[in-house]
Amino acid sequence: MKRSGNRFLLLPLSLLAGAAISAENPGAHQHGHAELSFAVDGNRVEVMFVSPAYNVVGFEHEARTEDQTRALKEANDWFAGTPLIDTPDNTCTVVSSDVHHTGQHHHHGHEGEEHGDHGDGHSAFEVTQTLECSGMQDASRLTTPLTTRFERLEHLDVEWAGGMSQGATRLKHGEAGIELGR
Amino acid sequence: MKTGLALSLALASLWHRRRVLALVCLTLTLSVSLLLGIQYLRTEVRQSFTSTISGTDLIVGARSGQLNLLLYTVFHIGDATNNIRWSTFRKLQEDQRIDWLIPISLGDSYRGYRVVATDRNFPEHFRYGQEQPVSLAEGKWFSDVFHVVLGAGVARELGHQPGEEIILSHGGGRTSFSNHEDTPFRITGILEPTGTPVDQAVYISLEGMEAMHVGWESGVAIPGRTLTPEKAKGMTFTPDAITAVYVGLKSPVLTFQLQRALNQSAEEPLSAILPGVALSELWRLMGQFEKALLGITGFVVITSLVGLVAVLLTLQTQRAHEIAVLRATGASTGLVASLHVIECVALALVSCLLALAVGSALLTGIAPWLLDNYGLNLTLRPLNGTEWALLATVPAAAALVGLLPAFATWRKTRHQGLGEIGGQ
Repeated sequence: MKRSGNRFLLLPLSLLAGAAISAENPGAHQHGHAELSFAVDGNRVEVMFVSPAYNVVGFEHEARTEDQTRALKEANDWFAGTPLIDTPDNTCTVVSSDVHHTGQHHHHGHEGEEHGDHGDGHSAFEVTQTLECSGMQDASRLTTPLTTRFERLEHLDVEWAGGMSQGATRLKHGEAGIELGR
Repeated sequence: MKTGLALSLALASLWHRRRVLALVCLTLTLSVSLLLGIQYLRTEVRQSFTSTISGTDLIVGARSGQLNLLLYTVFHIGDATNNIRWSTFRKLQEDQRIDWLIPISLGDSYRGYRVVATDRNFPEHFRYGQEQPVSLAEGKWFSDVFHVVLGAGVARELGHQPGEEIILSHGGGRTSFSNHEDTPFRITGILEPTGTPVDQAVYISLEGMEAMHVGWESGVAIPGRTLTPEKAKGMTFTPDAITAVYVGLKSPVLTFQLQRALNQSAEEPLSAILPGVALSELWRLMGQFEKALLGITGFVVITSLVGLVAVLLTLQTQRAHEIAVLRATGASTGLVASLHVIECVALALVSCLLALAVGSALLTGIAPWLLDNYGLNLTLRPLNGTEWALLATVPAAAALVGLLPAFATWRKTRHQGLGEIGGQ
């Protein structure tokens, strides 16, 4: 009740603010599930991977123990150096990579919760990569190391776009192949 | 010699029991047609759907699910939840990442066919199948507010020619009681058939859509406030809103970047979808259903084969004399038993051939109806490897089930104790 009351009070404000209020809904956050999208132009591939931090490191709060700090660093290093999409001949190299952690500034301190100390502040990994892959135009099948690397990742939704085709698939844990269906 | 004898005996036996076996053959034919038909439709419908749009990187519409947006913009199935502002479209036009935009505005109809208001970018940039453009079979594209171009299916079905005038209806539906009678549109061109939903629509300019709705603000025509073509001359029309936009990007690597930006647009809740991704999702949903359907038809074929065995076993009791004569004239137990297998396979082969004929005839019959009603272009093509394999399993399964009566006969004839006769 209290929440809806607050919303009601905010309504005139949001109307006044008009265009300044974002029309964006909060992103879905589902443990075990992540999204990978990549766009291809010639041999250049732009990749984006978005996943709840739980799937990657097993916790969503700031690292407190040494183990957690190490896990976070390992994950960051891995994302910086490993192409998230590769051709069957492993010809992809990382040109640039950016690892972003989102959502950790919303901490509410709910101690004892399964996901650690966060309320509406789930945290996520947002990884963007630019890859250079020779022979990309001829590849009809690509691979991703994500589904074998992270054991908490149960489903990976993959979407791709490129001059030749667009498509989507869903990989289960352990399934690494993406059929482009060209 | 022995095989030839077995074949001629089996065929003669089939011919002798043709009345009963014709019914079994009919059941088997229908079930095989069903199996083959489902498999054929699966691949053809998929092919038809995926070739409906190509080369479009994004479709942008009001916030809704990606399948809904895909279905109403591309397939003309269902209706738009909301429109998007013209100002949003103008902003997209200024976006440096975008190469071209095709605005579309829906909502009206002509005798049940969708009216699509668009601009000259539609013939220039819209592609279907393998990057094929939409071209005119006759006439030219609209150059005036009250010009209309008809899809091939509409022109064929209603027998229209360029130069004729038509009255568009307000809203959807085959029978509309509110028509834009003051603003007749002149047909300037007819499109080449594409085998996509493009054939089932009529195309006017965005200005035409605006002009015919002047005086219709309350949902009905207010006498004296609507325009006539004469009054509209020299006026300019700018829409307030459109239904959706097809977007072509300068580089495909920008697709997801722009999609995210549009989905998070601060000015207006928008949905930007990748048509190819939406189609993949559609097939992922349909995939389970397709498999279930194919499984069910597989069981129908098995049921028919079991029926065949039941009939053959029943007939076996009537064949005691025939078998005794065959044995007395020197036929071996193996030969007598093989007759059943040969008969089963022969029946299955006839059923498969009939199923091919029935399937082809049915497909030729329903293809125009599917194209008119669902925009699905199904064509008759030679069977592919999977379909041949599926068809081949029918006689193979028939041979297997034929072993049952064959074994029963073999055992029975051995008990008759005539034994083998030399020289066989």
